[in-house]
Amino acid sequence: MADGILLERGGIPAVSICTEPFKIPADAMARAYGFPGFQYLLTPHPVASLTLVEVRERVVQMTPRILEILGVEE
Amino acid sequence: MTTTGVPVGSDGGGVPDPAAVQDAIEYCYERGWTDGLPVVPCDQALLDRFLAQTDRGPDDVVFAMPHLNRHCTVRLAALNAAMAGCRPEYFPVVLAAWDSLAAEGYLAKGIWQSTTGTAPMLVVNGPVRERIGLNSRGNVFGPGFRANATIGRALRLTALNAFGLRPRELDQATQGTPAKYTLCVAENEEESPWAPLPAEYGFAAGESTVTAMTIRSVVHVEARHTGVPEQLLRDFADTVARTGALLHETISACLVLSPEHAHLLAGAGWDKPRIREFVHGAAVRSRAGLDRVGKGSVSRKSRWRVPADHPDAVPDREAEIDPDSTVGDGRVHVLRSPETVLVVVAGASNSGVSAVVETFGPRGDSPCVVPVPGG
Repeated sequence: MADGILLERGGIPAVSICTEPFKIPADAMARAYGFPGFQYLLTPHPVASLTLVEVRERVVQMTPRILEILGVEE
Repeated sequence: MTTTGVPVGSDGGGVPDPAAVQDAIEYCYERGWTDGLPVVPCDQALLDRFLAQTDRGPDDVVFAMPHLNRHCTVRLAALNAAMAGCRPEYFPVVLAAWDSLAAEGYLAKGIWQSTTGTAPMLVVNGPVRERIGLNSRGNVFGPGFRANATIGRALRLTALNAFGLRPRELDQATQGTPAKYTLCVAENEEESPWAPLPAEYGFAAGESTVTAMTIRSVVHVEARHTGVPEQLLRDFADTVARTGALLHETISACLVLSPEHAHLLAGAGWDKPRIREFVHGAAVRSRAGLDRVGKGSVSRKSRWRVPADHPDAVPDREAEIDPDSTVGDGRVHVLRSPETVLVVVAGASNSGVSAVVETFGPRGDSPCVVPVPGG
């Protein structure tokens, strides 16, 4: 979250991605950085133990929302 | 008067009114200032007694976490030490603990927010132990001693109240560890056969110090069975080398030896460098054993252990320097060097029970020994 917020503040569009159990800490970090409305993407847990194929599937699932947060119109 | 009929408070006997104390404790709970246990209500007079224990100014920064936009001043550290139950004379030890943690470096990297759920362990040496009643002997990791219990707790309350590191919010620990409540031990210098920990790193005998270490677990080693140094040290090494501890490519450890184990080793002519060397050599896993638990390789970027078929997997450092280690029965060292093992003596001189404290990170540098002002 911190990296995403700092990139955005540096003028670089960014999307932070968290797994669902990290929603509360993610919101807390956004508040700590004075950016409570920071938009980020939640994805199901876990990610660390996914296979390469599953990681690719997850990216495909997330891509529309990533583009939406970035403000990209398809 | 109370409902028990015991005269208190206004009788001039100096006994506080339980109802008022209970109200103050509940007041602190309601504001979220506790670790789950009651805290000591602190007023300006008590805070001033803490602040009088240091030459530092109340607004001096003890530690900053820029990634959280928060910092802890001497005043906040004192306030939380008071709430933790410290006596004012403990405060120089608390401040030295903060300095040691800052020097260690993991705090600034956000380790207290990590899912791993680490805690700081404080090792105190020198005359301050006796002066403030720190326990170095029986039940050294357990309850019963105000200084041990409250100095460690002062750090935790500060983490909660000054840095906002509350569980399930900014503290993302999956399970945490009981050591997060408090973990402060004194070295049993009087019953150790060797010079104390700080003496290995240039500190004079008679100087009081605090050495903080970020740790994950305290693992007991039951070894009442042998008088053979090599057998005893292999028992420690086997505990050090458990695969569950292997998050990173290698690990590190602090051996907290009971006086009985320390004397067994010293009596056979073993000093700390020789112990470190032996444990480093004996703390190994077979390549096949690592592969069995899916930790036979490391991730290219993070260097965390991963299965050999992981997309990011690359050979570990051992495989690069010793081709023999890549075969099934090849030996993989879990410690990078002998210097990744620290040796401390603590506990009662009554049995062959010691502990392997699993310190966080690969390490190998000198521990962060910080003097306590006033000696």
